[in-house]
Amino acid sequence: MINLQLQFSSLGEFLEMGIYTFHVWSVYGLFTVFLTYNLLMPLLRRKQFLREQFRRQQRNARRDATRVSAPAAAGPGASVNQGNNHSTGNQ
Amino acid sequence: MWLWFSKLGSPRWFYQWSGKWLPWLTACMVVLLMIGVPWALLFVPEDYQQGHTIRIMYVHVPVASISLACFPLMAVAGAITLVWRMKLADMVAKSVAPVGAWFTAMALATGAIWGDLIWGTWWAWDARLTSLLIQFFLFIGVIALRSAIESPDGAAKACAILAIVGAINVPIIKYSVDWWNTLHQPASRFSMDPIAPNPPEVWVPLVIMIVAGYFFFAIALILRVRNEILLRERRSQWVSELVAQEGGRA
Repeated sequence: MINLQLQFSSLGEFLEMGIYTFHVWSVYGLFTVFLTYNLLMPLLRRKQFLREQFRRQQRNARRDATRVSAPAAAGPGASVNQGNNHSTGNQ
Repeated sequence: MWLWFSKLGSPRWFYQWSGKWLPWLTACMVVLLMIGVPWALLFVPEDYQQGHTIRIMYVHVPVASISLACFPLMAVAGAITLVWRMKLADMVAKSVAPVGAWFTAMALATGAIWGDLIWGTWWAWDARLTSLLIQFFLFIGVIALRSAIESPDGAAKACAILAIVGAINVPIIKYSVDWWNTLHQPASRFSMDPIAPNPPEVWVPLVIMIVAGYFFFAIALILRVRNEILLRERRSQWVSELVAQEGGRA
């Protein structure tokens, strides 16, 4: 059957990898970076997207609320409304 | 079958379906890596010629072979985009390009590190290495092309065509080691025979690492496709509901 024998007698020997310390470990180091980056980066981006969209939703909800209340007030209310529209257009 | 096809084409359905599968895929990947990596590092016997450098193979071979699968996937997704105009196919085509570029870059980097040891050089203009480098540039080209074209439809079509044409490179990479006399070794043959040159204790961990690599590839791709779905469908009702639900916690 499959031979499963530990190939190193000590931790030091394992870390040394014969004489190939740098090469073997740099490959496994790169592999770790590669795995972590490609899993974390999309997750962080998703979080950022949800946060931004959530803020936009709240902003829109506030704007809609002022719009609804604006007609109730007279002249000055209309100018506030315009100001709000302008600021959202910029963002 | 057709129903399944059109359902799978719905970004919303894919988003929900992949959300259910992601934890399982992640669990499989973690378990396989937890078996494969220690096995490769601790238990694989030293190669009679290459000593401990054989341990590099357990990263290099999975990464390189999966990088070869990325391009055909992008070409197929591109063809589906062109023929059926399926939105999801274009999202997959867009998302697989950076993942493929990463896999190819990893294959080149780990290969160079290995080559420095066993060939005495980081790089050679050998058929296998050069064709893989071309694949890397093709991935970068597809990514650049998409960002260069403003109209999303035009970008999708152009990238699909480049992916289909570029797929010609894949068999060239695959068979370069047989067609030309290359510095890179041809694919090894593996056997169950315990006294064969490549007994099971050498190739079983390799198979485990390749399967783990495919799980990782699927997860990395699905995560990117899901982000792409959210971005493109951000004005739809279901995404606004999702944002309202999860946005506060994000």
